[in-house]
Amino acid sequence: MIAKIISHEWLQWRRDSRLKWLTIFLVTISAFALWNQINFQSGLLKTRVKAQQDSRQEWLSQELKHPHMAAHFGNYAYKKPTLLHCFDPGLTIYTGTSVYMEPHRQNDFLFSQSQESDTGIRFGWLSPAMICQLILPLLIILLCFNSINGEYEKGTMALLIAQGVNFRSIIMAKTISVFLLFQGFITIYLLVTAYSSSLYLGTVLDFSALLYIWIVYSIYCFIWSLLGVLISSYIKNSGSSIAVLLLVWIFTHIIVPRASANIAENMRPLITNQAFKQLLSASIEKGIDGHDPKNERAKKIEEALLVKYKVDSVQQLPFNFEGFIMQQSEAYSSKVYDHHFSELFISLKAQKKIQSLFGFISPYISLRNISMAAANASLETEIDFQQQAENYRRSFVQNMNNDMKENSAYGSFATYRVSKDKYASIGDLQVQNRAMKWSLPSLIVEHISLLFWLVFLMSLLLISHRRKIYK
Amino acid sequence: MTVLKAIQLTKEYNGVAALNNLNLEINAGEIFCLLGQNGAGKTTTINLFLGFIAASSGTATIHNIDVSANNAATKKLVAYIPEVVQLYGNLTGIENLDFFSRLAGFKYSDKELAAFLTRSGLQSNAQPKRLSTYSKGMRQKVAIAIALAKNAAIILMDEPTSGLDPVAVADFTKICKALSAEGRTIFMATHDIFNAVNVGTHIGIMKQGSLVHQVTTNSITANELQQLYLETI
Amino acid sequence: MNFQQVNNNPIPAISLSTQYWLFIKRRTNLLLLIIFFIAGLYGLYQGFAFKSKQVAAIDGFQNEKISKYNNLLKGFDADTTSKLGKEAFVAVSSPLKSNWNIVLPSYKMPVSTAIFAIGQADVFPYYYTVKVESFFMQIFKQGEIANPLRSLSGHFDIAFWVIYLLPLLIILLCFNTLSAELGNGNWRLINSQGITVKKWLSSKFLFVGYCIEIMILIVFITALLLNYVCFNQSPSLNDFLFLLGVNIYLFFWLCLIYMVNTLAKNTGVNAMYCGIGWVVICILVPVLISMAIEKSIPINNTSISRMSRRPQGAQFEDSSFGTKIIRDLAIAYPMLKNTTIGTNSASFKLAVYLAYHKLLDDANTAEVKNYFTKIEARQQITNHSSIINSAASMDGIFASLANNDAQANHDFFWQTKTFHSRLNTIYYPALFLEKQLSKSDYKKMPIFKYQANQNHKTLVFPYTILILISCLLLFISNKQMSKIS
Repeated sequence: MIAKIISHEWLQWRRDSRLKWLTIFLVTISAFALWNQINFQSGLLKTRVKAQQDSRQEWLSQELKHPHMAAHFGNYAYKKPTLLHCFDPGLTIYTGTSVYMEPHRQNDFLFSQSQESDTGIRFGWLSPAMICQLILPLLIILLCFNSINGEYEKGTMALLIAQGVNFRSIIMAKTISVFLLFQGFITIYLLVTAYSSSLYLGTVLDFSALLYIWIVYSIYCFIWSLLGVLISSYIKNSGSSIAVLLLVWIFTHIIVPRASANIAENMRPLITNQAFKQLLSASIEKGIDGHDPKNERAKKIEEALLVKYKVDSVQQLPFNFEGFIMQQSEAYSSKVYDHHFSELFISLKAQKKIQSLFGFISPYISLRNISMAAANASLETEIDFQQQAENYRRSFVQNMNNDMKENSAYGSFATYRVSKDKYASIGDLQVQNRAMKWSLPSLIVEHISLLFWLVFLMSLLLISHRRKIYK
Repeated sequence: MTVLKAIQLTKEYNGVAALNNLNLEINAGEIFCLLGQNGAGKTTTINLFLGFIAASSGTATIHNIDVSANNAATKKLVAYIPEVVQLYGNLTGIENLDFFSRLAGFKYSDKELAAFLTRSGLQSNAQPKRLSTYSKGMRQKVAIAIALAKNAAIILMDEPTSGLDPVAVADFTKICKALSAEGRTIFMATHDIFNAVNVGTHIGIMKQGSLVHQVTTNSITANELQQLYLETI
Repeated sequence: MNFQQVNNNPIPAISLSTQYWLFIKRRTNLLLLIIFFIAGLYGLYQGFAFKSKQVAAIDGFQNEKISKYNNLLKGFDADTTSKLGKEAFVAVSSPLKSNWNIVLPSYKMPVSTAIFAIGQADVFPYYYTVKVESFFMQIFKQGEIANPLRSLSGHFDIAFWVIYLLPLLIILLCFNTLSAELGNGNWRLINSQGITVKKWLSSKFLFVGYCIEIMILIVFITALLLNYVCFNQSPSLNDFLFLLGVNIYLFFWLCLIYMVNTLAKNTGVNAMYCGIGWVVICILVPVLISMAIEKSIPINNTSISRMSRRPQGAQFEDSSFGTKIIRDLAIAYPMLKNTTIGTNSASFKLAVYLAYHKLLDDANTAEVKNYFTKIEARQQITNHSSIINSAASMDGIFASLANNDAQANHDFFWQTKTFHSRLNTIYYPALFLEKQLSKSDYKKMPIFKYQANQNHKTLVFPYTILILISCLLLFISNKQMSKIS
């Protein structure tokens, strides 16, 4: 019976010219979105690879100098797009694209794309994910809004019931007919996106992430199909149901995400850079706990070394004390950075958690977070990237300071030079993209909220079966 | 005195005449009932007098004022009772009447509004209730009150008794007669032959956009009118 | 007979008080107004909170830098017979030390209109630490901590309230003004009372317009009061231009929904037209135009980002290279033509290094300008696209009036560069003419004052276009009305 209703629905849609226009619109805008992202991301990859190579060349071609000075020449890390950024660029637009890595300080990631865009970018960035997250539910609404009340208005509902079809089956059939249509679109679109972006970006595709994205978007699609049909069954008049559905769409896709982000910021405000830098320098000067001043730290290290090596002065140590103390202060500042950055990340993650809870009001938020995570463009992956860059910076600076400690004599800062192969031994930062399962622990709330939506709507479906909604 | 007049009045939709060369004169105080099948042109005639639609040719006048040339002026002279009286379900009878009277430019006190509703036959305990609780007959009484409150000499009615139960029809007939006695002119389109004979002073029978017969009710019985009607269509 | 005769009848009309009466009879209308008003107040709170945070950060930043600077100045009065006192004196007076001891703050204080629109302020730095060394090298390392999740979701400020939410309120209150009456059969009765489509629609839209205007004015006046009380800022011309823009934009929406009312007779179709219209104007068109702009003006920041790398190399060890660099600088800057620096000078290396910085900055300026100009051009296209892109255009204009767009940031950037140059006109003579910095030199040190630049002429085109489009919509509506009976 359900299959018959579905094929009947599809027959009606095939004969509806409006649907033809909607299909043309969807296909055109989806193609545009895909083209836009592939074009952008592949261009970006090219410039980033080139920038990294140039930076590398500059690093390698610097003349032989003191290792610490070479460290001060610094290195760059450029974020490179992953394949699924073509599907969902997520947060990458608002995060810095490059960082300058030098001794003593952890620099900020700068040059985010949003700084280079006009304010129009705030309205959204055309990408396949945007199509699937924003436009598809809208089209689902246009197909669903009169699916049940339209039958009443035409007087065909009584006939359907009289033919022995139960009300729940009608709702289910209408839901499935819309769902399958869009599910088909999502499947094809995802495959085309994955294939074409692999052609242009030439990077490896994470199949588990793709499969995961497919499942989550399908669930989202089902949620909207069911919601649309249910609202159409609960509201008598198709004019009102379209108004309500559009309102729900605007509420869940525009208002709640914005409000939740702002509320989260109000609840867990992010520290300003100025205050952050003050904390950092205070901690370095006075110690993390405020009772371990910098000069006393150095003195303590010196005394401990003299006792350990049973010597009278630092010049008698078997290694260069200057290099050692530099390393120690680098290690201490790293501790300070770790301490304060972890607090910063905690407040960012807390904001995200607050936003995630709003997923119970708007499934869009849950989908968005999951999609960004799967595409390696979430808050967690951003933080991870920053940490990888910072770890690299530390090992790179430590490497150069070690060279100084082990190979140079005390007081030879002006004369000591690194050996020729030293520069080449320092590799570039190789960013490790995380597999899908790495992100899963941070997406628990999102999964629960999507599940909640499914269960909630299914139970509404069951209730609607039992009671007579209207004559 | 002629209050409603149609001269060669024609309305065409895509080349098909819904009303064809209608010539009609209705005098003050008359109750003119227009009979005819669906699509005969009754509602078109009423719509033309109200200025809801523009005539393809010919003129409709009210008090010798051309409806199409001065619709704003003629609208002030007529009141209208539509076939489906919906009004606002979230407003009470009094509030509905108040609202429509304000639209026409009148501002009445609650007492005056209640008096109009009582005159139209709506019981006073129903007046402060919301329209969503009213029956069709009660809603129609509010519509009559709206017409009364407009203080118009001419009332145009489109199928006023359709869907009403016999008691409501009887009430309606009584009110129409009372209005006529006050000197008001009533022009109604109806399917109800017996009610037409009962309430009307003049009767017109329309067929395919033309007025085929025009009789006075004192010259014909209900059965004769039915016979004439069936022969005509 | 005392029935109505021609010429002595009351005039049919639907007054605003009747509309009000009808409006409040529907509870959901009041509820909607209250919800949207609360949303407006929340938007105001967000703008206020953001501005307060910026002001507090600037205060903290400025105090920190000024107190360090004042401490440095104490070196002039220090007892130079003691070791510490001598160090303090050298720190302030010797060009060899003061090059990194002189740290000046520059900051962009949010203007009064910033309370309405946060714009791009969340992605741009609004304070810089300025030292003697290369301007680009130091500036392209300074940024504000990003909150990407919030930036992605967007601000819930007054600009958002006006651009997205108030049109939605207009839609919710007005989308079926006529179709509802046509649908429930009341229209003919209303029309028979002498009320025309135009009277019916215009009174309702006028009423809704007044309601929204009152909300806007309350929010606007509250914002001005907050500015005055909390930030000591008087109302500015930009505040009123913002208000004007808001009114023009909402007038456009009122006209658009007015037209929809005359186009379709069915509530369902109206809802669809309005909903899709909202999505198209507030999302699709801005997104597509933004995409087109990005494609037509490509931007590559690779070389700009590389400007933060510290210049190094064996060349700095080469005295003939150093002499040439100093000579080049003296040619470019005649005030330094009498430079006494030679290879034997104690400050030779530093002088070469800083001369190199200065010349490098000069060489890089054109590239940075070009980079910024492209970004500004992108914004200008958006701001001038009101003919098809009203929402994004107004959003851009609001950000611009609030001095929270890229242009304002770039102005701040260049003003900081001028400030940096002024610092160097004091420091360079000391370094290159081998003098000590004196108290009077420090007295001449510049104090940064951000000047909000606003070319109000650029508003004329988008505002006028939007008014003309609104008038066109009204014209079409009036044509369309004659078809409704």
